[in-house]
Amino acid sequence: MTMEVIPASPAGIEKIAADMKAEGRRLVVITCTAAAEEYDLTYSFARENDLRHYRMTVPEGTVIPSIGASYGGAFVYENEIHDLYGFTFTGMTIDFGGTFIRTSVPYPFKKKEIPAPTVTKVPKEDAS
Amino acid sequence: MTGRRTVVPFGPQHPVLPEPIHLDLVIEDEHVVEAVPSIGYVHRGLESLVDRREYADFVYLAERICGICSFTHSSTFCQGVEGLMSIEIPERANYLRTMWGEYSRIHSHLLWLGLFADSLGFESLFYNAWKIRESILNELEATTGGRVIQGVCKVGGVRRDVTNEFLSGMDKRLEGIESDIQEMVNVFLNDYTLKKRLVGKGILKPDDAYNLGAVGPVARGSGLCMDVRTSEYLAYQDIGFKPVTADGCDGYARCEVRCKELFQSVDIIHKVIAAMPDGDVAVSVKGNPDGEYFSRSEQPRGEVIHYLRGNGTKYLTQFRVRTPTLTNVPSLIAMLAGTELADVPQIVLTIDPCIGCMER
Repeated sequence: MTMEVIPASPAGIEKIAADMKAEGRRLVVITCTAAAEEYDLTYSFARENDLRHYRMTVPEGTVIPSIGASYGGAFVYENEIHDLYGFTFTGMTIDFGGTFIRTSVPYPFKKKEIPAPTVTKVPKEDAS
Repeated sequence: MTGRRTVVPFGPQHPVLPEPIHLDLVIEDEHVVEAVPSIGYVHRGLESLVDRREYADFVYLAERICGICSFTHSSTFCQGVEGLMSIEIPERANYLRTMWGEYSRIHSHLLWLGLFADSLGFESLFYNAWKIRESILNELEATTGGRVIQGVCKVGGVRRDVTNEFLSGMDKRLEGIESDIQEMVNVFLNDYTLKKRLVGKGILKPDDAYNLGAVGPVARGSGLCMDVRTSEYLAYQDIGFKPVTADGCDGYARCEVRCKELFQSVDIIHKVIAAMPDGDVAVSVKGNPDGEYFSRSEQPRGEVIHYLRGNGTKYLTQFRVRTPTLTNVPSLIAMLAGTELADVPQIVLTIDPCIGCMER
């Protein structure tokens, strides 16, 4: 289904989760995807077949509060996002400290740094 | 309780586990106090390949996320791309996808029932379940060309049609398969030893199941009426669908749901074949996906999510998958707490863990 996304922020995500729980919604998934400059974290909640998506767009290294107080099962998504993208969640119900998904390289889905050019072009004036 | 605790490692290699998952079991007097899982032994990072394969070709990769529910992964991915591009696929393709999806569910449930019987040392029941499964795989092979990876879904429909004569034959053969299933299910649901190992084991209360995000037979075995097939996708709305539930909240209830879903799937296939519309099985696809889409389907293990994002080129920019086993892990931890160490292998199996699927 096409997605209608409601903007959210790290500071407000715990309250959103508490409200969603009070409405009787279950946590479907927390999806992390790389956006143009930053990362999108989309929280999806459902009641029967009615889905609601909240999204925060955050830069690398943002510390995000866990929604574990409302949804005990959120730790699987939060640990996964930590292990694949490198985000830190505070207050997770179970914190694996980076060992939930044992990857051969750290944070494999994190945006790669732009590599330095192998050849440096020197302007003509300087070269003479 | 003596208050003396020991940590017993369970997995990643274990006789009851076809795939690797590790649990640190904190034990006190043979009772599990806490179970701490860790995964990542078969993480392949398949999702990250999405920007290097054209969306039409990525169907083959999506199908390989899992070797058991491969068909559902391919149809869920195609459904996502079709949603992004507003493609209306032919009705016959929708019905064929429904039929193959249900055949996949039967073969997956039979696989689980066999593995579960094997975990108890009930070898003859294991052989019997897998013998019946062979009949299902034969039908999949005859109609798609593949037993495990079918390769039959494509964006815009399906690659192969099945003649109405062959469908009638499948319908008839299914009656024989159903009676074999009935005989086998009678053992699963009534055998003294099986009941002894399942009834009252791995309790998951309905509230816990809902709050911990359980899906599929794990949720339905705790009495929750949750199934994506109640939403509008494929042909389920046309033929009518009501989820199977059980109220036991234990391993037996989860087994009961899977057993009853075998008959439900057979019934759905009968209805799909009876109502199979005539016409094409695919439409031509022009253009490239743009925007984002949240594609949901009901796999044999529960709700699967494919999140897709495109930017108008032939390569999708983002693809994320949430599989049912991942979301059933918190429920597994809850159901293991307080159980006896000897019951752990069977309780782990009752969530029907699919690790390759979970890790992508």
